[in-house]
Amino acid sequence: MPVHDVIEIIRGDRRALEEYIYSIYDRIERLEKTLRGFITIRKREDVLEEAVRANMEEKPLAGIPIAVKDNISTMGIRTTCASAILENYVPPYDATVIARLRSAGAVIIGKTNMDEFAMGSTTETSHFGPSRNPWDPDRVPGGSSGGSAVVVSSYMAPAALGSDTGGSVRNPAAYTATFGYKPTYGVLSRYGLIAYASSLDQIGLITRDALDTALLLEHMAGEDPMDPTSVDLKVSGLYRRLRDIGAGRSHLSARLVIVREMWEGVEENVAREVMRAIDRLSSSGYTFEETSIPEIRYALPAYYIIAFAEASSNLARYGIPIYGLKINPENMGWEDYYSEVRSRGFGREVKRRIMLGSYILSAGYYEQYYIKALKVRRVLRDRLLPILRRGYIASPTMPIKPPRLGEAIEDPLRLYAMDIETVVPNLIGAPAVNIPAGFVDSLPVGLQLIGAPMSDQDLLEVSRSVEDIIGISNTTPKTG
Amino acid sequence: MDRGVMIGLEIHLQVNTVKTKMFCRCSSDYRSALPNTNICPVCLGLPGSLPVPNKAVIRKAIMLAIALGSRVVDRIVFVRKHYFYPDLPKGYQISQHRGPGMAPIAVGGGLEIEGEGEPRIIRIRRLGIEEDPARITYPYGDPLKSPYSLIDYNRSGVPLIEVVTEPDIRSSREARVFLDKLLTLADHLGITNPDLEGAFRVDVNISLENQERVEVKNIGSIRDIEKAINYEIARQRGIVAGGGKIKRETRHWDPLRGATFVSRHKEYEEEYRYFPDPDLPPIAVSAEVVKEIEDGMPELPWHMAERYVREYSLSRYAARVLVSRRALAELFERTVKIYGDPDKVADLLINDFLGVVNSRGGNFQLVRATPESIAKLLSLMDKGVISIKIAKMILKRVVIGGEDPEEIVAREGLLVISSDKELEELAEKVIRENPKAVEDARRNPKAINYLVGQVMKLTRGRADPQKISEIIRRKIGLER
Amino acid sequence: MERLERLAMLRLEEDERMTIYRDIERILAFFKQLDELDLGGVEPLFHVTEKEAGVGDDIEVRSMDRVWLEASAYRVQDGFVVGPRTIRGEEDSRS
Repeated sequence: MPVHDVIEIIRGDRRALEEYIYSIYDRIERLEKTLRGFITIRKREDVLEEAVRANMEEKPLAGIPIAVKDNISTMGIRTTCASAILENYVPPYDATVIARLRSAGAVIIGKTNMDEFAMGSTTETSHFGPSRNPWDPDRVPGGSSGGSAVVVSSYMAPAALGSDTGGSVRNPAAYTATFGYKPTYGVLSRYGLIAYASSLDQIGLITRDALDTALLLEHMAGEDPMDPTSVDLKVSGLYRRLRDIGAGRSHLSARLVIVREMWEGVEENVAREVMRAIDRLSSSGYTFEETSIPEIRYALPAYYIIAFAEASSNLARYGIPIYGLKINPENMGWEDYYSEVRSRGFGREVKRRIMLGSYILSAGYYEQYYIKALKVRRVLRDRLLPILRRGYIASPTMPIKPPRLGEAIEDPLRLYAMDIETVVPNLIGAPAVNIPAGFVDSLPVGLQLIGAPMSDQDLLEVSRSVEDIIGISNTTPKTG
Repeated sequence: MDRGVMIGLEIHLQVNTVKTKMFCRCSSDYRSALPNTNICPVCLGLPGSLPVPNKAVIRKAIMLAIALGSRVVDRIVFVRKHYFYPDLPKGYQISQHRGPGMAPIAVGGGLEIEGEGEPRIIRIRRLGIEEDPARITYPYGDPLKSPYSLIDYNRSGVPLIEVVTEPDIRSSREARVFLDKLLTLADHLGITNPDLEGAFRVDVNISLENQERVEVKNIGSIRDIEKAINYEIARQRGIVAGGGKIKRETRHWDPLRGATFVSRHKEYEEEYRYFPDPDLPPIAVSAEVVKEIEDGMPELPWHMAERYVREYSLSRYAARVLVSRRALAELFERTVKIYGDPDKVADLLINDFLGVVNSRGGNFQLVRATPESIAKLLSLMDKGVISIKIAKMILKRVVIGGEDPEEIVAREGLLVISSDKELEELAEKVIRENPKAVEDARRNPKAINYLVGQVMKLTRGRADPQKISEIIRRKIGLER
Repeated sequence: MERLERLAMLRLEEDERMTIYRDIERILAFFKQLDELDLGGVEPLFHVTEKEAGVGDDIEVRSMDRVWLEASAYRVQDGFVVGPRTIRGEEDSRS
């Protein structure tokens, strides 16, 4: 049951809340061993106590449990980024969005698995081992917010926070038939989000449907003085409007734009299934437009150049002796100490990205790679903004079905190629969603919609309408 | 002066006049705090933290730029300067730089000095805002003997303004004159209090004609800078005279051994990987803001000196000494307001007051004298209540001890002996006890000084020597 | 390659080094695609937000206690965080 329904039942009803929390932990007990969605699970009595208190204090979120990706700082709760280097790091502060959710009465049930430092597309680079797709446990759930998607789709929690730098929320949402939302850059405060690539990162939501996202977003959005890049998006009333759309009280339609290049490189079955879902929209008043943006082909290399460069910078802080891997600094030269901590603490993919990133930023290469990638970024934004003002760009979220464990991760370029659809909105700061669209060989396939920057409200309203029409949201696989 | 010597300075001024750090709101007063008590996730560089620039520091930097005649940039860009070291929590320092997408807060401008010849302008290359790293100390004092380091993050993030000159300076004397003037300016503008420990540090670049330049880093006092420059010039001249060439290198100044040494660490060129900080979108500086800051600027020290010459009819020298420190100038003007007679005030301050302050290391933080107490002291002297000698005796207690001169005089009976009767008695006593001296004085009038001195001793300096001299002359029968 | 390791403050094992090196070469070749575009006259886009960086007023806020450091760091001595040996003579870097 989505959060918006659960809340109605548990609000003011302590017994119902307890039963609900117990049932969640039952599911965790049954499913977590196989699916491995969590890195840290809080004790049931702690979660219950907090939830009951929030409920009795009549907080708007009434004690709803929420799972949080393990790269979002939670005070007093271990936050590892799925890395050995932060294995024992317990933050002394809450991320702003966490503080806001807590004061609205949500309770954190646990921290979810992810690719190490969010670097990956399948959750296979986690130091704690991969998570498994509840729709087929031999396959990946997507990444890097794979754990959050696993937990929500198998209902080990009704909703989860993730982070999205190049698709890390939409990718696993597509692979698990859940709703995934990446805001316009700046809409959700990044204070407390452990940075991967600062100009691309955003906290995102993985939920059972778009209405849940709207419900939670109302308590999370808003400018934050602790985040100099945060912007103010007014979201009051959003939940009510989406509810009206879903209940048929208001009708919505929109123009969808098909960018030809975004459908190249997509596996035929996948493309066909997503197109089928889109076709159903035309009978509800949706219109379509086709266009071509050849520069889109350069989005992927531009994205990775920027991401690696910023990542190498953001990860330069690890090695400092105030948190993380416990190595005795006495009698060690500082260069040895730092190298030791970093070499032991980081996994291979992270090391590769840090080295490439450092190379890209170094003198002699800075203009050749980084500056060039930023120029491509401007070109893409200039081409896409006019289109996004006319309609929403629609494409498959992922070019392939969820691969089997071990398949994609062998070859880095093959891994990166999974991101071709999802990097575009991050590059230009635009909001984007994944809506469950269908199945191929019983595996979930998703529809991505991209909106104009700051059009998050409209995008979510349209998502509500679309998911309603397609009608496969809020499903749980049989492993559940 | 050495023809062909080119010296450039990189001065880091600590903005110790604001309350908080550059990118967080921790207190920036690290001197009086226990280690690691002014810390937060931002200045510790904890994962997920974000920098929020201190608006007051930005305004002060703009003010300094205006005073130096530099051109302020229209968009402020912060960059990341990467290097690893245990005192740098993020693995990068937020700073400013020149390059694609990057610009310092101001360029150009200059400061006129009276150097080795005609007054001339030392050109400013650029001004930049940056943050201080943490402080490292050693358990056994000497880094070479200590098996580990001790890190205090109270200083991490304290604001700095960097002033870089062109290599227009020609001698150590010119360097001192320039620095004195710059520090006086920073003092008057309310940017840097030069008396606090660590208020400034300087990197010096020295090159001889047609030779590579040598950088001597991290010198913390003007005296050391002069010594280091003299040493370096001599060292380099020695090499060249012997037929050698100067290697481009980085050295540090060892004050104990009075010499510069090659920095072992810098065997390879530092690769800072500068790029604009993605967490800090550029901040616009409008012409209106610049004008507003300019209109609100305190009086520039050189204008103040000119005004002193005009308004108070002081000599240029006196004016310059009085404006060398804002605290001194304020004391002067406020005392004149109460007491009048600027000459007398200037004289006391320049000759006696400064003597006391300089005997305590020149630290104005120690001064407890107020305009009222200085005025009182001068009045007491004017009225003849105390002698000049007594005034000088108690000056230290007034200046450093903060005592009230009237109270001292009353309590300790230091009043001038004005009663003739008392003086006559003492004079007769001395004449009786020193017959030989009296004989000498009758023959050689100048020898009367000995007798005068004896009376002065008896009065403990409380009498006017002129008067004593007259009385003695009368008594021993000398005519004027 | 060693320079890259030093820049990144990493020390790779022999076998790691070969694989990573090969991957890096291929990825760099992949990046070279961007040379196909004519980007003359295009300004790089550093920030996707139109907004300026939010700034703060000079008002002190106390937010953290040393207690956390003492629990989190490997060792704290007399309030100082214990760190590795530093070879520089100067007390601080200020590069």
